[in-house]
Amino acid sequence: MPKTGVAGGGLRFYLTVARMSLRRNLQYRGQHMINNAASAVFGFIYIALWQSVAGSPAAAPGQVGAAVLAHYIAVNQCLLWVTTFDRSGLELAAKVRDGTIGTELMRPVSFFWMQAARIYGIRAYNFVFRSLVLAAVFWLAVGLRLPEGPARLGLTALAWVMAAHVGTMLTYFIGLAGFWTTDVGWMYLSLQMLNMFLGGASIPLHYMPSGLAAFAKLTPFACVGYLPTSVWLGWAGAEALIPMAFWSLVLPLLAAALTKQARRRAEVVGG
Amino acid sequence: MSRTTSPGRSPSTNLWPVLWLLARAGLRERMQYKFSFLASALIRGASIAVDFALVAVILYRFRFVDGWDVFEVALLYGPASAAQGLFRMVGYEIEGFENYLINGTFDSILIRPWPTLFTLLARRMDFNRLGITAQGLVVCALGAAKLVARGQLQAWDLLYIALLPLFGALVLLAVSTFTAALGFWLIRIDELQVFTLYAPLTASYYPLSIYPGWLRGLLFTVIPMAFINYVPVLYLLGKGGGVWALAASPAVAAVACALAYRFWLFAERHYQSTGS
Repeated sequence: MPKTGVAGGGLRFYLTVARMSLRRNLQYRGQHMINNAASAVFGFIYIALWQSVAGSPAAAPGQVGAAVLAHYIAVNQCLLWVTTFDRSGLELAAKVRDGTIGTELMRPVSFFWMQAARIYGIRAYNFVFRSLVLAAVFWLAVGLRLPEGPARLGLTALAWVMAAHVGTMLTYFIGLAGFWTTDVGWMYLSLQMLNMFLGGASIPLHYMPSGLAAFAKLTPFACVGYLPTSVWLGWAGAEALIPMAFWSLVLPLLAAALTKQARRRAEVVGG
Repeated sequence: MSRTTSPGRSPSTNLWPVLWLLARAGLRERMQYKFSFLASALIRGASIAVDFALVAVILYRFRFVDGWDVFEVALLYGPASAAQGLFRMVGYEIEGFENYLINGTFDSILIRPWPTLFTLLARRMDFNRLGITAQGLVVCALGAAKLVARGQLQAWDLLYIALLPLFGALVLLAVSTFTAALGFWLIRIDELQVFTLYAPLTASYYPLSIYPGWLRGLLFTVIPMAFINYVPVLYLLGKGGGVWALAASPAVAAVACALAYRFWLFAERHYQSTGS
């Protein structure tokens, strides 16, 4: 009987799954570098937009300057690669459709943690070969700086790990939805939309109407964009990690519970 | 496997009746899953509309982006976004052409009695993308209505603006075809498509004057997104350019399509199957 806890396969097993997932992505480094260029262009588009308005006469004196806004967009563009930009959840939904999910469900390890380990592997790859590469591009183009001081650097690293974890859980939910519906593409788009808007990936939340901003900060979407970026830039301290820690604990519990439901629902194509 | 276009395969042979038949069949197929179709169309439209929501929030706070207010920006965003929806509906298989190259299924396209590009276009229309077109048209209509009321646009300008999504869709189809044709050498082109198509398209949602020179240069020449909205709208709003700007959009669309098709015909001669 497959188990649903980490102990179902042992930590070493899940680390191996994550490592293999990372290695598989290494085969496509060249292609990914092209995408990095596109990602940098997206960053430049939003940076240009913000620099244009921050320098306008309508910008009030106390508002965040154009250079800081450029940093915000640049950090977020790097962060999105470890939280949002991968379609691995959709692979899981595809397996439900073609019936190969049966093999996955039969493995004598936790289905949930094995899928999560695969996504972690992709995100580790993305961190090294996408986020760091983009950070270097933005360092050259807009003078992106690392968080100031070792304490801030450590806090930022912790925030990024939690952001990647929350992002992984949200991606897993999309894949899991494949047990209930045939088309999860629109759900993936919805997630991206929420991450971009409520997560503050394109616009700092403090520019939103105050009620909406306050609500957005409590959602898991802010944990994959606005909060970790605010920690990097020094806009927020350790208190920003509280909602992140909350969602980091709650989402895996919810994922495990939904996985149980999905198992009961699974209908495997015979042959 | 290497080949050239077979003689006697005229691009126009039965094209329109087949496309019309396919469109009806495609819509009927999608309507078998009405909820999925409606949800998908709505969400796809809303996900793209986030780009405009972003600029609306920014302009709510700052009023202008390089001298353009929210209604003027709507006239840039709307046609470009509607064009995206039209292109992605018709060019569904071109957009996902990488799969044909990886799986070797392009082999089966080669034996059809039609030019390969038209065979691909006729294989499927994705009506889910109509949501993207619809939200683009709504944003465009809201912006245009306000600009007409302010006297910045004449009523007859609206006729021209209504055609912009069509010109834009042709430019996008040309860029996508060109990128797909590069796949005959590169095989994997999905990532490249983000660079050649989606990033420049997003750039076209905002006034091009805000971008650094190298990016503007790219958008006016190699990837001519400037002509799907910015150049004609600049003239219509009295912000610059001449009457030639109105002719530039359809002209660029026609030339881009012709060049992309020629390049496709050249590139497909270099197709090598998967060998399995």
